[in-house]
Amino acid sequence: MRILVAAAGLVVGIFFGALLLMLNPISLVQGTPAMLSGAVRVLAWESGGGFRGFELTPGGLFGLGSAAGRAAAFEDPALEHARVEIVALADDAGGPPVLGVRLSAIAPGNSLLQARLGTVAAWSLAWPGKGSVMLAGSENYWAPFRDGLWSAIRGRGFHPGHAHYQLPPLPRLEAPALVSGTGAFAGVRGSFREEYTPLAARPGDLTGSRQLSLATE
Amino acid sequence: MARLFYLCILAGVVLTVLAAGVYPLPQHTRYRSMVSVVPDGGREEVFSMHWPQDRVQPLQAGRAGPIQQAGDLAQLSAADGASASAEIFRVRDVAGNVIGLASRSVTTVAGAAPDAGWVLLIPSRGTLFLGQQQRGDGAPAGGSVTGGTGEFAGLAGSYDEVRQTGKTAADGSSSGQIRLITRVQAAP
Repeated sequence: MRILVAAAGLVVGIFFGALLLMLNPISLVQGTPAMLSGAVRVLAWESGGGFRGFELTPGGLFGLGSAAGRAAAFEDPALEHARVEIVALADDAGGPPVLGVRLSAIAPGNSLLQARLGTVAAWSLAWPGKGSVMLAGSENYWAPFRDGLWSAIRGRGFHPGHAHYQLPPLPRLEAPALVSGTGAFAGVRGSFREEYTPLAARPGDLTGSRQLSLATE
Repeated sequence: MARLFYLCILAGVVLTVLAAGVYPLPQHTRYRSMVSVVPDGGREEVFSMHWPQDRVQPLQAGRAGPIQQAGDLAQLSAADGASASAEIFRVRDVAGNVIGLASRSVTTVAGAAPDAGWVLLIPSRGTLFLGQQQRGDGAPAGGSVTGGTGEFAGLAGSYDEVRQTGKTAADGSSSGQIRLITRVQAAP
C-alpha cells in the first residue's frame, strides 16, 4: 500500500514538475517577437524545395533523431545539429518567387529551465534580376513546443494549439537583422521575423507553413 | 500515509526540474580554430571546399517546385530571363575537418555583373557573411566581409576566393577545390 501511495505521489509530482516547466514565467518575459519597423514585405514558404540535416521537430531539437531524420542528417560530427534548406518563397509584393537558402543550427545555450529551445539561422534570399539580401537571426520554438507537449499529454498528439506563432528571437543572441543587400537592396537596413503555422497533416513538424516578414528602411 | 504522498509529490517535482536541468541538449562539436595573425593586424583564416565530395544537394525530387536543378546549381528563373542560383557545400578548415556549411548565391541583374555572396555557418562558432565582387572577366576574385554573428560579430575585412580545378574525368565530371582566404579585424 505504501509503495502504491509513493508511486502515485511521484507521478503526480512529475506532472506538476512538467507543468511548472511549461508555465515557466521566464517564457512570458522572453516571448516577445522581434519588432519590425519600416516597409514590411511578407515572404511565404513551406517546407518545399528540400533540406539536409537535423529534423526540425521536438525530437530533433532534443538531439533524438528518427530513422527518417537520420537519413537526411549529416554524418560529420560538427554538422550533426546543422541543417540547410532550399526554398522558393512567394513575395506578397508580387513578381517571381524568391530563391531562399536557409542555413541553421541548434542554438548554443538552449536550456529547458530557461525556456530556450531554438535555432540560429542565416538566410540568403535572391530575387532573380533584382538583387539579394542576407539575414541573420534566431528563433525560439518554446511556445509551439510547450503547446504541442500539452496537447500530447492530453492524448491529442503533438498539435500546437495556436493557429499562428510569431517566433521570438533567442535571448542573449543578436537581434534578427538584415546583414547586407545587393542590387535593389544595396545599402538598405532592416530586420525580420519568422512566423510559423502548424500543419495538421504533419504533427510534430516545426517547419509547418512559414512566413518571413522582412522590414526594410 | 498522506505525509508520504505529499513528500513523493515534492520529490517528483524536484526530480522533474532536476532532470530538465541536466538533460544533455545538443552541443556542437568544435575543432580548434586554425587562425593565423597577419603582420599588419587582424587575423587570417582559410575555409576550403572540395568538389564533388563536399557539395550538398538538398533539393528533393518532386518537392522542388519552381526550383530547377541545373548541373550543380539550384536555380530559379524569372519570365524575363533573369535568374538566381545557389550552391551549397560543407566547409573544411585547413586541417581538412568539416566544420560547417556554406552557401553561395548568385543573382543576375540586367545590365550589371552578377551579384554573388557567401554565407558560412560554423555551428560551434557563428555565421560569416561575405559579399563578392566579380573581376572584369567575370571570374570571382574576392570581396569584403559584410557581417557576422557569434564569434564573427563585429568583424570587418576582406577575402580572396581561389578556385583550383583538377583533371576532368573520363565521364566529364570534374573535381577541384575552392579556398576562401579571409582576413578580418575588429570593425572600427
